[in-house]
Amino acid sequence: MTINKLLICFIIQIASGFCFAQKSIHKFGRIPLEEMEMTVYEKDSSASAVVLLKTGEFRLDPYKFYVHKRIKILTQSGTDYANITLRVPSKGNIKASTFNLENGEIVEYKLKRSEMYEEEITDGLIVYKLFLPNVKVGSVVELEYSHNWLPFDWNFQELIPVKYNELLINKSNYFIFDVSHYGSHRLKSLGGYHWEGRDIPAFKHEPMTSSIKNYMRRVEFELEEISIPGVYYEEFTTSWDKVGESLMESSGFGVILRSNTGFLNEKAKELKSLEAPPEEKIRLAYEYVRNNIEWNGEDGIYTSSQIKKRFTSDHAGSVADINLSLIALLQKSGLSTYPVVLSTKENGLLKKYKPSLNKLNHVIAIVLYGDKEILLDASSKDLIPGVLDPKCLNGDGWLVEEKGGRWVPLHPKSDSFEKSFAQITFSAEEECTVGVVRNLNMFDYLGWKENYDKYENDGKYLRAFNEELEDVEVFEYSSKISEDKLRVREMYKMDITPTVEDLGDELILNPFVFSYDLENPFKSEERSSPVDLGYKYGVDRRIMIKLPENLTVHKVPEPVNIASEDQKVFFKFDVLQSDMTLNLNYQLIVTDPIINSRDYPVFKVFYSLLIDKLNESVTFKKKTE
Amino acid sequence: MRRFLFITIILVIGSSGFGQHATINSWDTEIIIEDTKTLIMKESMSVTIHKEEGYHYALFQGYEDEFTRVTKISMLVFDQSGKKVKKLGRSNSRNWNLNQSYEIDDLEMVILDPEYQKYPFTVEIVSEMRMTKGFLNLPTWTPRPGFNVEVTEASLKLQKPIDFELNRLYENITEPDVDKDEENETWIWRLNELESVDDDISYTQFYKEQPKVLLGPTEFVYGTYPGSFDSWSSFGDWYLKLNNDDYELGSETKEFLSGLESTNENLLISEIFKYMQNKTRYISIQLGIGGYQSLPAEFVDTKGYGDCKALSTYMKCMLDAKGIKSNYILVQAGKNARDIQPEIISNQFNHVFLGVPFENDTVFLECTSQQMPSGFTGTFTDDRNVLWIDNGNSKIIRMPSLDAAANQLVRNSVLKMDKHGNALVSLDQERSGMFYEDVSFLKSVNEKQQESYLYNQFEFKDFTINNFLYEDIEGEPTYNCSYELAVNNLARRASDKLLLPVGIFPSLDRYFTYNKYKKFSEVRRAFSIDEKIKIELPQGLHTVKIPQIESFESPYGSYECELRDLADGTIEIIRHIKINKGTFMNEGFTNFNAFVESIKKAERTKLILVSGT
Repeated sequence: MTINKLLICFIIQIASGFCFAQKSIHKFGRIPLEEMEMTVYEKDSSASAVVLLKTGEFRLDPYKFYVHKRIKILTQSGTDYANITLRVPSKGNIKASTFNLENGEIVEYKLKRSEMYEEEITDGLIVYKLFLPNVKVGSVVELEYSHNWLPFDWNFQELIPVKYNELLINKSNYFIFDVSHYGSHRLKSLGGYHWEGRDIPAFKHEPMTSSIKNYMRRVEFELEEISIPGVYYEEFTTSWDKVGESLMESSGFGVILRSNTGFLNEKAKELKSLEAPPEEKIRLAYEYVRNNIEWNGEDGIYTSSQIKKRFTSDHAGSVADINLSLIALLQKSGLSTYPVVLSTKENGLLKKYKPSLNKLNHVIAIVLYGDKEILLDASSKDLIPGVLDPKCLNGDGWLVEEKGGRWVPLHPKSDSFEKSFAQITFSAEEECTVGVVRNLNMFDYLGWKENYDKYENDGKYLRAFNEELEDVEVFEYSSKISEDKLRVREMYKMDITPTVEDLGDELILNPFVFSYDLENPFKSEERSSPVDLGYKYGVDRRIMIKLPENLTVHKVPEPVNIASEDQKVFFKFDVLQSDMTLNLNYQLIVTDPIINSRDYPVFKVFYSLLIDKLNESVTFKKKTE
Repeated sequence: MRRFLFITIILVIGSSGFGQHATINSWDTEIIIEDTKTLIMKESMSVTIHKEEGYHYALFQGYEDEFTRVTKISMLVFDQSGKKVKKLGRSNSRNWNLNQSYEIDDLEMVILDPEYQKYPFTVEIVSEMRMTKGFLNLPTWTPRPGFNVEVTEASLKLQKPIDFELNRLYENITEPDVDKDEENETWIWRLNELESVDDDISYTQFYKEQPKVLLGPTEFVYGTYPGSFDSWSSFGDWYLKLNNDDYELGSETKEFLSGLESTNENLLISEIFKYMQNKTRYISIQLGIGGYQSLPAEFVDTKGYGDCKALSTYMKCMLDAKGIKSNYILVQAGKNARDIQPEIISNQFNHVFLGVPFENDTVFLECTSQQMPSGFTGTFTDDRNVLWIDNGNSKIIRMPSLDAAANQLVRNSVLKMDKHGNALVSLDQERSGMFYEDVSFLKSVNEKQQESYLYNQFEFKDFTINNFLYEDIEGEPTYNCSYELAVNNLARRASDKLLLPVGIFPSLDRYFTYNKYKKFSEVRRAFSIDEKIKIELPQGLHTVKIPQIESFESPYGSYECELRDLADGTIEIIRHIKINKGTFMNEGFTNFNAFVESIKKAERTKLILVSGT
């Protein structure tokens, strides 16, 4: 049970005894005739259903949350919105009905209590499935329910448009909590914790978005402080310092770190007495943890008293089991090591001005030695000290100390940079072969490795590689991973003869053998959420064409430089010709992986121009004897 | 269209990967049939997991519902040196209900996970499962459960009362050894040394080559309903007995029905079908016997929802009221479902729909779809063996296949080229049959979602959709789509020339399974593509020579492509592609692949545009 849940129970206990009902502004079942008669939602004519009304109210007596929702069904497929799944923290009252217009009159069809299906009850989670009866195009479906305490969040925006949405949180003297806003649609503040939103468009998921949670219009709640004069007082998340402190006092974090990690003592002693530089000790500790425990797929920042069993007998555990073990081992080995807590990309960005325990879902280690700092995550098999999984590159993480703490940037200082080389040769039979060398590092390497591991050897990887290609064929593939496990060198040959166009007196060659898969990933005209490219990267590709004796170069693509005004993205293409060879070289550099929606049009054009350049060919004239 | 609950033993299917992931040291399955009501299945398995990819072989996976209980699970885990490191039991297992938001049922998966990851390790799993309220199916025995696992020793022992009859079918395995005493008969199959099979062949091929034993009871009791698999007809009668109550329709529906005056039965069917589509939606509620027994038509009539059984019953009931006789049809549904094996009479079905027989024709009705026109059941149930339910006369029939004439894609487009190689493309498509189905969901999503789907439909490197429009033809499985696209760099630039490939729109692979790597291809349905492209050249560009593309025809299909210079600054490409249905592996694939490659080569042919005069 998390701290919050315990507290909720506590508060509910002390608060019981008070109870007087309040009336919702919009009464259940009082549906205006025009809403019954509406056939299309004017603000979005393609909507299959629309939320006409949604209100949420948190009342202090007895600390319950009341929801009222009214949905209009506009098309046949919109009837799916009359299948409602509720995930609530406690049982409560549910009322649901369908309203149809029949011969000019509004007829109500109630959903019976016996037809509300209750499913899979786990700790503090109850799921209700409600299938509203008699739903047709034109029906209005209405729902009212309540549950204890606050929900985790409140969506102002949904997958269908919302006409009116109101949230009211009544203030209590006993506790203070914080509300975080996400998304961009404007809400009207009605004072205090009270907002209303009107005409909120349907949420649209866009490709290359880090998390929809960041961009859907919604609010999250978090308990900051409980203060019952003379009875109880506790602060939680009023500052990031406090977040760290409550973590260090938590039985699933700090307490475990201090007192349940004796099983690492022996190894720590060995490391401590070892005469080696810190880098070496870090490497050995990291390898020891990697060799003893594999990630079981669970994320999160809390571990359990099972940590020893997970490490020494299961050899499988969560991110917290693994990395807290690593932190304890390094600390016991005499290295200055701290936990760094963070939120992964999928989980949304941490806000520095909004301290939050609930937003944290991943923990890693940081070691400080000399004037250096190194981040470690032993939960993924391909990582090494200093490199994090791309999913963790989400702004900054919070370094947790016993008292206080600080922010540390998660993005690495060095970027991923690809350096590749291709040599194009014509044989006497006018067959055209390319020898390719690609050097990938950092995240490019990790991406390659993840893919490669599906095939396990070069031969199998090659077959899969060819499966992806049209017109050309790859052969003699080999790959070599560097000793520091941070880079790979791929070497292969390619037969590109089918792509060479022979016009008799002229030969046309597409020299951009790395770019057969190049496409503009951004096709929509506009964009509402930022684009997340994952990480900073650069590409340097050199193509050398060995000129055969029977050909002369006729026309070559012109050199070009393209950059966005803010220099976040940058492309350069160069040509160098000698007697024997023609050299084409291009560089693409992305210095900031997050592209704002405002900059999106510029970025789309940048990509278009780049493709435009790489769509040019080299032409040769055949020499006459 | 959705299926109903299908109770069977879930097959463990090997994941992708290379090499040997696990070794099944021994796997003994014992099935004890006490009578038509009671079946006990005991399993004992020892498996060594060599690497992470084989981890799923170390899981115990069972299920429970009203008829089935997992009565025993125990698991021992041994490390590399053979030392016992863990003992797990029922209390460590978890029950999962894997329902979608529109489903309610009582089926739960029971999973016991060793939660141990130091490779290699060995687990010993002993389990017992009991069915005490009757059973329709017996698990299919496939001793080599997937790719990348070798089996040292496996056995199936089946014990049954002497007079208890079983229907059976063996593949790639011989008859069992039989032991008898006065009351019981025991059949035993044993297999040794099954080698690990790498996943560089298709699963279809793998499954076909596996030794397997399919069994089913001849007589059964399910809940309180006795039935028989003595013949398809007797099973059909059982299904009818379960689903043959007299249902009373509500007054609104009665009124609607009595208001229908036409005597044209086809017209009546389509009116009633439309009424049902507008009134209902698909929701699956299947508890207990509800896996096979329909909810009453009254229920659907008043609530406006139901599963495939309930919706079919409702439709049938309305047709009955108008004196139109219809029949239930049981099927293994799904666009890519494996066909049932008619050689063994057993319950191999997961879905029901309706057929209305006419003298020379049958109208098929898929009642779970709110979109499909009456009479079109599409790829969900086409071209396969199904059980036609008819009192005393149920039989296996073959559903008609959707042929190349039904699966037709007609494309007409005009390309306005500019000198840079960019083009403004207006494209009209008429999609029928499976091409219709591919996009029929667009009707139910909003414009933004339609747009994102569309962006994935074209393979241009850089383009924008300026406009699009979808229109379905009322009552026909046909969609008309038109688009206007601005495509950058459609043609490749080379000095004073533009190179435009003849295959402008993606033509082939996406419509069938094609894997060079596994030497496997499956064209489930024949189809045809007929295309006309008019290319308007910009001022100052012309063609030197129109390429001639050879037509060809083979058992796999045909390809024709003709280019013509219309001499008014436009060039026309006319193309007809027809692909026949078939499954190709190994050598068969080599020949089929040659056919596909020659089409791809033809599509690569470039039209060369030159500037100047």
